[in-house]
Amino acid sequence: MANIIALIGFGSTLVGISQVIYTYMENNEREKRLLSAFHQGTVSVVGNDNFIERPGISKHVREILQPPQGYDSYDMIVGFQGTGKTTLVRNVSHQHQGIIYVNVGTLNTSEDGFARAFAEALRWTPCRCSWFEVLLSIDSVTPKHPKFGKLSRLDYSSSEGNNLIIILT
Amino acid sequence: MIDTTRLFPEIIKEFSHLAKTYQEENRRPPVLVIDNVNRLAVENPSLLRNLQDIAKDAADDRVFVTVFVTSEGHAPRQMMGKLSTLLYTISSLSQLILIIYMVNILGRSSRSRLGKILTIGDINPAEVRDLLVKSGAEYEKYSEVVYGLVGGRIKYINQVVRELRAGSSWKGMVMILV
Repeated sequence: MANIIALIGFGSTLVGISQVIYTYMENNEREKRLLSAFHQGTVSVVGNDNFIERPGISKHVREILQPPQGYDSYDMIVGFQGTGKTTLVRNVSHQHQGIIYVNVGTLNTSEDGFARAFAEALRWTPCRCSWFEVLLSIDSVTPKHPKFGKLSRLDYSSSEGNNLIIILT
Repeated sequence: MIDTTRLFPEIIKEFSHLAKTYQEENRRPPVLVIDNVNRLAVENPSLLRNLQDIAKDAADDRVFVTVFVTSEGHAPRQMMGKLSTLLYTISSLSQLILIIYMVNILGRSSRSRLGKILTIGDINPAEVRDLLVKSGAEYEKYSEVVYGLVGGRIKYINQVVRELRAGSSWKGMVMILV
């Protein structure tokens, strides 16, 4: 009996450690993937056959989109509707790295909608949370995990085949 | 399930973290382009103010550079301050001084980090001709007429090109544009 308990304990520990390592590695991969969005840029060219190169304006747009290190301002590109701002910005952005482009569509003017558009542009996905971090966050040993917010309660349900069900809100 | 109420601050936080890493590797700040912010100025001004504050903080810390792309109208006015609109409501010099003080000193400090403002205007006649030649060699002869009809607004010139390609008559095209 003692051997069986020891075996179960050993097995559980092994599974737990593996899961922590797996989560760590997967989150590392995730960060690399997100950084690749920066390196590759996330701007697709507008499919417009009639795009005309406007060297004078393009030069200024390029300067704005490729700021030097230590640049301490934010900039604005303004123009009347239909002057080709979006086409120009997207075409110039497409040629450079380090540019994340977020379009405020008519359906994403809410904070949540904007966040989703931003997430899509960044190819963002929530990071994985290991059981170890979840358990630690119960007593606020570690800061609450961004994916799950605060761990609200633990619910043990025997009707679910004696599984420990963790409800996260 | 993602907690949507925390999604926005979470993404901004992670974006800032990634921006720092990118900058360390590339010795250049990444750029966040937010297009069509004019829609926010009308439908969700508080989010636009929030984004402007984030842009200011990022500029202060040299983490990333934000570029807002907008049409003329509410958005540039909101982002550059409301002094121009407030000036219509004043009736005395003391009020003017008070308003300038409130807007510029006590007002939103995020405007202080607003750097370059690039205005994109219409294209010139030579560029209209280039665009028409690019659309089809036979359209060059229309360039002066098209410029006279719609000016240098690319949106309308593209509309003219589409109509020409579809075989529309000049009369029909003028009807559509006017």
